[in-house]
Amino acid sequence: MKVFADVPLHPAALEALAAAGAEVVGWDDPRLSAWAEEAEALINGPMRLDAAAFARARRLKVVAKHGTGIDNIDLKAARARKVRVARSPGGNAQSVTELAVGLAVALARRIVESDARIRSLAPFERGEFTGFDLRGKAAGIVGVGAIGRRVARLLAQGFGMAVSGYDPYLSADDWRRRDAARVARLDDLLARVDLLTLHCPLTDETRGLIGEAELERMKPSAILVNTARGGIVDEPALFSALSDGRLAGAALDVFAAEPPPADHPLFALPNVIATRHVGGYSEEALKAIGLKCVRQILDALAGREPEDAVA
Amino acid sequence: MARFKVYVIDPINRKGVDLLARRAEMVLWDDPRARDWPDDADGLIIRDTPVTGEQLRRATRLKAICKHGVGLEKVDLAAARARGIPVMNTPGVNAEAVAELTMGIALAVARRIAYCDRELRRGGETGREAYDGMGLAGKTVGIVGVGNIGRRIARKWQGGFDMTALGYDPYLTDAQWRERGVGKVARLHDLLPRVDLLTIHCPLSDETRGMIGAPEFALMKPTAILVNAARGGIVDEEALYAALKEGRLYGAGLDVFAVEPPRSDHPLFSFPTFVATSHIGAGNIDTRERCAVQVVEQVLEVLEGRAARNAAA
Ligand SMILES: NC(=O)c1ccc[n+]([C@@H]2O[C@H](COP(=O)([O-])OP(=O)(O)OC[C@H]3O[C@@H](n4cnc5c(N)ncnc54)[C@H](O)[C@@H]3O)[C@@H](O)[C@H]2O)c1
Ligand SMILES: NC(=O)c1ccc[n+]([C@@H]2O[C@H](COP(=O)([O-])OP(=O)(O)OC[C@H]3O[C@@H](n4cnc5c(N)ncnc54)[C@H](O)[C@@H]3O)[C@@H](O)[C@H]2O)c1
Repeated sequence: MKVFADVPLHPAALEALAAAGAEVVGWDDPRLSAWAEEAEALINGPMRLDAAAFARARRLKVVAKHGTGIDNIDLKAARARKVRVARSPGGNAQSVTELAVGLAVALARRIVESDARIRSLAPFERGEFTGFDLRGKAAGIVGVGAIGRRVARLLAQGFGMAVSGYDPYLSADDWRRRDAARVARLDDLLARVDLLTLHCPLTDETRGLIGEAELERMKPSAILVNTARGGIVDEPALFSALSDGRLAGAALDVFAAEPPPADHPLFALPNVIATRHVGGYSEEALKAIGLKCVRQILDALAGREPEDAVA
Repeated sequence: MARFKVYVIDPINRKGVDLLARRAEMVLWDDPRARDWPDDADGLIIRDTPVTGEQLRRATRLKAICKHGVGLEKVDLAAARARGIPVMNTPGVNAEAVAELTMGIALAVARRIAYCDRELRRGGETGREAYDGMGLAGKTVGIVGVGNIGRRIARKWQGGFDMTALGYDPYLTDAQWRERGVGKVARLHDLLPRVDLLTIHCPLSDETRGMIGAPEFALMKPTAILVNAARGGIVDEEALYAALKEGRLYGAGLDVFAVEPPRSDHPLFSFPTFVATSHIGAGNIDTRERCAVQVVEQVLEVLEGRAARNAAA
């Protein structure tokens, strides 16, 4: 059994594959480029799986998505070729949640800016990095799914924030089980929050969801966190809002093009924090997800239904 | 009624100044006369400027000193006591701000946020593996000094992250431990091996200077994180450097240093899991407004004959 992985796997997952007798070609192995010809199973990270890829991958029986976002996979093509596709929701939800909250506090308190200034030779005044408390302020969550609901709970119970959410796909019953008050229209949410954090998928509907008009509705003292997907926030519009003082700060773990180049215009601004799509990169998440992917592959190859299958 | 003369020799927020202007004659920090406060001050408001015994002996009219914030190590308390002048501070006002900052620093260390931002801006490391971090939910936080800030921190990590909170504080009664909802550990050395995050919230004293040094790091888990936003000097920076260098600690974040501001070539800056801020624990607009108003209120209360609140013994 030949398993390819275009993401680094946690040692526990590699052990589980070895124990099942699998031969693994990892993300940093030059043989990875031959995956389409040889793989029976693929543990998929950022690599695009379009119709052409599925057409080439004749031996492929299962794709286990190392994560939740499957906007890089052509599911129709997978179904046409009878390739099972499963994702691992929940596995990195806590990890993304902690990053989103860490970014929010880092923005509110200008932690990264202060750290960078100390490291540079530029002198600074004490009292220069004035921030604000999260406690007692309003947070808005766009997309209150596996991650969004955890963020809502953390901000409400850990920081004493008043949390509201916008998610057109939740039932009244779902809302009762969230620590966020439902706001029916995105525009109403934008105007009232001090912190806006995005946790919806990238879809035709959410591409450019936060653009010039939306940023215009936000308070100039508000901060924005995007750990969902690049493309949901319009980057040029964000740049102008941040440089004109119409928004206090933004933290982005995801960009329209990744990795973002060092000369990305947003990097010229001190009130921006950038990370490298590392929402799911924690020891705990990588282990849980790696092991889940292995279970899904072994199940699919044995003819059993993989957990969280989407094709 | 004669108006009291109050000197505010370090900057405070406008809201406090406005309040004082209505109730007393004042000399502010940017006035050249500010340094002559011992001549005729009835009340003195300070932040960082030291108050010496010599000044206190000259300040014959002085009836109240209040520090904006906490930590009175720069005031000659014995000299003030000898003259019967209460020395107050404003504890609790900044507890939320410091608590939130330490949480942000802990998360920034755990997830290498500052390092990642730095690398992206300079066109350095773009492989995501370099930023592999660790989670905090469900783990154990150890709190050294479970006072105003420490107790708040405990509730936050418990409520937001389902962490178990343990504490070391030799000055709390059993009733206080129960009320604060923190598990008491009687000896620091028993606390250290149990925690994934160690967060320091005690004052700097003879007892706490160098309290977290080489023997303490040796007892901690190699996967643990240390955060100090209390006072520089409590953590032995050389021992911290050695622990990080040898992989005996995951990472650390310091808001306070033995010498401030820290030099940009401080050896600690070489680690991806090290985050530094510039003593900004209370540096926050909400705190400044609250604190400036309270410092003025406390001084006026004493001048008007009421008992001193939050005075040093
Ligand atoms: N930064 C990272 O490393 C990282 C890691 C994992 C996931 N993610 C991203 O986070 C997103 C959220 O993940 P999740 O596990 O919570 O997914 P999820 O499917 O559990 O939740 C997504 C929620 O968004 C809602 N939604 C859909 N369309 C919407 C719209 N137009 N407006 C508002 N809400 C909408 C859905 O109803 C759902 O409740 C993922 O789609 C993924 O793109 C990022
Ligand atoms: N970074 C900043 O900008 C900033 C801002 C405000 C306060 N601080 C620091 O935070 C510290 C805590 O502030 P607070 O308002 O919670 O003070 P506090 O007085 O309410 O609490 C301090 C606690 O430490 C305990 N303590 C004393 N000696 C100890 C020892 N040897 N070992 C363990 N515990 C001991 C005390 O019993 C008390 O419970 C202050 O002393 C100050 O130095 C820093």
